[in-house]
Amino acid sequence: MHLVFSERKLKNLFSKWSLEAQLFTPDIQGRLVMYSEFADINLKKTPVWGSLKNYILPSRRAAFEDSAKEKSPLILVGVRNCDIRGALGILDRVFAGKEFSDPLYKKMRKNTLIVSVDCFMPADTCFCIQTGGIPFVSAGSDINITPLSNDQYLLESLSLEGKRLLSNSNARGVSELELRMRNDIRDTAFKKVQGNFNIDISRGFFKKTHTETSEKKEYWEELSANCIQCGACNFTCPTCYCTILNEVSSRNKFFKVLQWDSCLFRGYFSRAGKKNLLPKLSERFRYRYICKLSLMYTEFGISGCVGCGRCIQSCPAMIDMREIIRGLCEN
Amino acid sequence: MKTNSPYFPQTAKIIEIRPETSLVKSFRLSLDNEISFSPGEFIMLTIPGEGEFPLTPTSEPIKSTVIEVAVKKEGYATELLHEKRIGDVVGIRGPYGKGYPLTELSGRDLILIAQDEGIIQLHSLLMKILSDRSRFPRLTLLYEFLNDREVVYSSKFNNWHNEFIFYKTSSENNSSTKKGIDQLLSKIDLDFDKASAVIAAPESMIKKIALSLNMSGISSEQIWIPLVRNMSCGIGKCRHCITGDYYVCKDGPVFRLSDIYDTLGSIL
Repeated sequence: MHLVFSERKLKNLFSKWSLEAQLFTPDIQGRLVMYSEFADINLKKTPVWGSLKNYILPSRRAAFEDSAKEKSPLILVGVRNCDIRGALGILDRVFAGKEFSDPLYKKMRKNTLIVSVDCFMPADTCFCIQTGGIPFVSAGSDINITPLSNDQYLLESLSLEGKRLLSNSNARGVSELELRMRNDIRDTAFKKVQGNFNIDISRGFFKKTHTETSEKKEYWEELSANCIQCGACNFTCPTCYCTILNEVSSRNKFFKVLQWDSCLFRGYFSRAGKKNLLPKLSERFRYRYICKLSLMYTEFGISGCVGCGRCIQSCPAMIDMREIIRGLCEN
Repeated sequence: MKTNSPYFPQTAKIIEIRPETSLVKSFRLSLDNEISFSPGEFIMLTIPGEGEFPLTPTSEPIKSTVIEVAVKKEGYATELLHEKRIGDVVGIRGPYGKGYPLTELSGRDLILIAQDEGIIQLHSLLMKILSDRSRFPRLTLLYEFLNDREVVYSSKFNNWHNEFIFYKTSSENNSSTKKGIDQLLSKIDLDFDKASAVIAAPESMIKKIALSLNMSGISSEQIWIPLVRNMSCGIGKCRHCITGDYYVCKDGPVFRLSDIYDTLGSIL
């Protein structure tokens, strides 16, 4: 189902949704676009901070919470295709697969309706195409929105639930011209993203030809020299899902929390007896790239990097994944 | 508490504590629910409110509500376990992972090699073998320790001498471990073509010991290693134990040496 909404009508639709669910939409806060409770319509700027991961795999949660009270449904508006690829291709397979599936993840995933948005204004740091993605959504969300102009939004339902959300919405049908406009908008975004990076990493990266450079200790020491081990790249990444299972003090009762962990933290590879398999930052830094660009591809069949560019924007040391990949190719 | 969470442990009450050395204690645990494990598989042991760590049970692998573990004091959680008394409660979940390939090992000449606390990782396999000698008729155990006064399971030595070929060596009397194991290998008389080995030793030693075995004619495909890694979830969700292309928790912790040779002592 395709429907065209004016901005006023879209606001009405969002207001209606906010009565039956928690509604988060992108909100401009200073330089950044962040998800926040619905106030206004800001659908064009990419990326939105706090990826889909934050809503289906929160940074800290009780490990046994599945028997807790039902959570109210959440509608998340503004999710980009990079996050959807990461969730479908990696997170769902880890936490909602056959082996030891995670009841709370499944519940939160089911409770989260995804309203995706085509990338109208991709950032300079976006490079999804080279990771095997595209800057618009044709499947994986409940509804997809294409901003056609400042006042016209094309909504397409992509699931039964999406169809239900759009029913009785008093919008008009789409014209041929508007569908062609959508194609043009998508083409423009595609070309813009394509210009941001030109090395294909969609089938993993660390191949035989790169092994020599990738094993050079000095090379990684140089690259990681500015890294302050803050973990921002891991935490903003829509596919980094490493967690640590921590105990909470509670006398003889079991209470554990799952918290995001970062492979750049020194403790990540340490074990009892003061042994640490990767005590040096440069080794852990290298591991992060190998995990994203090689191990995850081998395991999931899609690149662990979905090209959202959040690690580039969030790094206080201005480390740019694209430059590191370029460097590996050139050396 | 009613939960489907795979992270929820069951209650385990400490019913017996035996000191093995100054740093190692054995604990007998009584569980709420019966578990059965295969030798080499591991459980996660929780000290409530403090920490959790992986270890392989040391008791005979039969379906039971009682299991035994032996733990060396070498970090925060293991130290806290050592302070526990009879009647105290801990938690366990599991068993997880893949243990020793019993079907593949049956009928072969088995050489188990342990260095120091490595013997703990072999103990339930040893119990299995002793309970099923028709499947595992030929067994040799080489046990090397670095300190004569800190020997785990020394009270079992007499029994072991009676049950199978058992050599022990103290590297205090040897210039190097490699020499110790080499000497033992030259002493034992077996059909190396039909032999499989298990090495439970620090990773820095495994390659050296494996080389001696290779020279004797046992290929790395026939050598099995119980790997030790930092684990947080134990079920393939947290990525902490990744080593090469494997999850130690799901694909191991027992590996064929030839599969992990390049990553020994590291993770990539």
